[in-house]
Amino acid sequence: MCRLIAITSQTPLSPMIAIGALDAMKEGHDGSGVGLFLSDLGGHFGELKGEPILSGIFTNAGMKRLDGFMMEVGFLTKYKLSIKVPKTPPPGVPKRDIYLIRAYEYPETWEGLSQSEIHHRLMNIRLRLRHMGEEKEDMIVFSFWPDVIMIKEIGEPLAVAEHLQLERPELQARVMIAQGRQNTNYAINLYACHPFFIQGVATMTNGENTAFVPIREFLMSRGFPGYIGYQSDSEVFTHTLHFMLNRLGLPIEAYKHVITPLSGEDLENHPNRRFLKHLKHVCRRLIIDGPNCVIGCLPDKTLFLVQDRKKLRPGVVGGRPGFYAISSEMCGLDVAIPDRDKSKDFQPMYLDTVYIRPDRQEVTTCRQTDELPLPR
Amino acid sequence: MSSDGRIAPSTLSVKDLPWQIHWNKDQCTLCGRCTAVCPVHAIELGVFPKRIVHASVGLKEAPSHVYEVYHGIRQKTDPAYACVGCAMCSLVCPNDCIMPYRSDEADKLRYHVNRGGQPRRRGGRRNVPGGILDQIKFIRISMLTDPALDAGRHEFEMRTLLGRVLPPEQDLKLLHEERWIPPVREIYPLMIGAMSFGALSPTMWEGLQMGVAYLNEELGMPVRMCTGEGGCPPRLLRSRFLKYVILQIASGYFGWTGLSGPYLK
Repeated sequence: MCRLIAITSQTPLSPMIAIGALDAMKEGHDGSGVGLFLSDLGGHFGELKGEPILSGIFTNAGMKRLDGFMMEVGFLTKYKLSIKVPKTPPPGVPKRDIYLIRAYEYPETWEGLSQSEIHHRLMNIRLRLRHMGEEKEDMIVFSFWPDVIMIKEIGEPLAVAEHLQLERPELQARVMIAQGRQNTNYAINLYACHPFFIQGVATMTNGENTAFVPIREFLMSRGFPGYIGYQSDSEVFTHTLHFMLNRLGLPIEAYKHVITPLSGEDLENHPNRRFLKHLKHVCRRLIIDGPNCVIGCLPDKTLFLVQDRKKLRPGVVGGRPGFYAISSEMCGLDVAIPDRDKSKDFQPMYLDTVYIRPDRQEVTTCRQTDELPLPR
Repeated sequence: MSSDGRIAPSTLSVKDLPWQIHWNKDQCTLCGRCTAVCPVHAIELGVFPKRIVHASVGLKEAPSHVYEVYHGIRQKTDPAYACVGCAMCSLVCPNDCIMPYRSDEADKLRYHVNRGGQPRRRGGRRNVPGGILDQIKFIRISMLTDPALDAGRHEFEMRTLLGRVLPPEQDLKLLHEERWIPPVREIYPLMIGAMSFGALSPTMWEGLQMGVAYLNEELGMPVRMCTGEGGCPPRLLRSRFLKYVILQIASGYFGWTGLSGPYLK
């Protein structure tokens, strides 16, 4: 079981807050890795809104290949953060050459392209870098997207954070989601580390998904180049959400109807039953089977949480206007936001989708049996 | 037949062997050369019981009998010593009283010579190690969660979809535009090992068909059954219950499972 924390705040915060919350929940993960997704950035990166930021881990040779490739495509470095790490990493953390966070200026030839075309090209560049890195094992790329920084590393979260000096002001962000990893089934691989990211959509999951294989097959057969990887069974949650948002054009409230559709009387009594029956039939292969708590961030910086059909994994949301957090455990929430009205903490149940819009004024709860706000 | 007369299911008679040795008792001098020379030891000295009946002419003496033995040649029925028809026995016999003859029917010996190991079976296994069945391992899905403790979390959906399921984008678009969409129904698949009709006995498919008809007509359940590539029995083709059967003809797809939705166009 992994431990998750998601924080959204009006003022930029250091990622150490999220790491501290993971540390408080350390009984729930085995320190086999940490993943961090930062968005709505503060610091200098925050001033570069719109410019894509590349996050990844490179060897010195990989760095040269990256520079050559990016020059060829026409990207110019605008701002970079090179994390200089001490020579000897803490125990359990592999030795790396360069942790790279670099903002680029779009190539001139991209001017006038539509937003969706730019998004498609950004993803393709990330995929090409990933393939290049897999060939020679000299680069690992997590994200290439405006206003997004991702850091992943194997090891105990607090030790990794201190090793990488995540305290630094350049990394402050208003939205952050982080996961402390519990290694379950597979050899530790950084591409198997949550959160997963595709075109602005980032999610992380607590629990395992037994229906992983048919979902993966369905997604891979969609003919979308970004639906690859699947080193972890949780990556399908991200891609399913991306598929629903981008290909089906549905709102976040419909996510639960895709992964855990209603059945029987609940479905018959739903105001949108005709639509939901169609959705259930056509997205049948996307139905999950597992104890899962999915926490994530949408392209518009909305944070959300959904539970599986039986609410078999913990999750709690709390905070105050302007500052909210979603956490696997209460102790993580206490560390992230100690001064809050605890009586308003909410533990979403099996029908609930909880989200916090980017204005951060309230926590909205949507029950699956409620009417869907469908686009007209 | 051995002299002590035991008969087991695999016992052979002399007639089952490819060569039978004919021996003439009246001409035999009991010299023993034939048994000595036989290269495969197909024959051995035999002691035979014989009942001799004395029935003298007239009524004075009642008929009587006596048991005697006589000696001669016995052909072994053990396949390991089967006669090969070399006729060495004839060559050495001073009175020409012994001769091997080719059996006038197909010998059954071939079913007995390959001793040990596994008998041949249908089903394609060649007893070659490393087959796919030998490689299947049964392991736990998760290292963390004990499936026995966690079994309650799984949801089992019995029903499957029947009809042409469109890609999600297309279906929702047509639904939004209120246009025609191919009908899709949820049905209970009755899946019997995905065997096609061709592999079932008449008793079996008729029984299944009765079950399907019962579920439809008595219980009102929308149950259908697919013939598979084995074809449909003519008796069923003429039946009014044909409406509960999905005829699968030259689909090029072997078997029918819940996952085969896209193949059922």
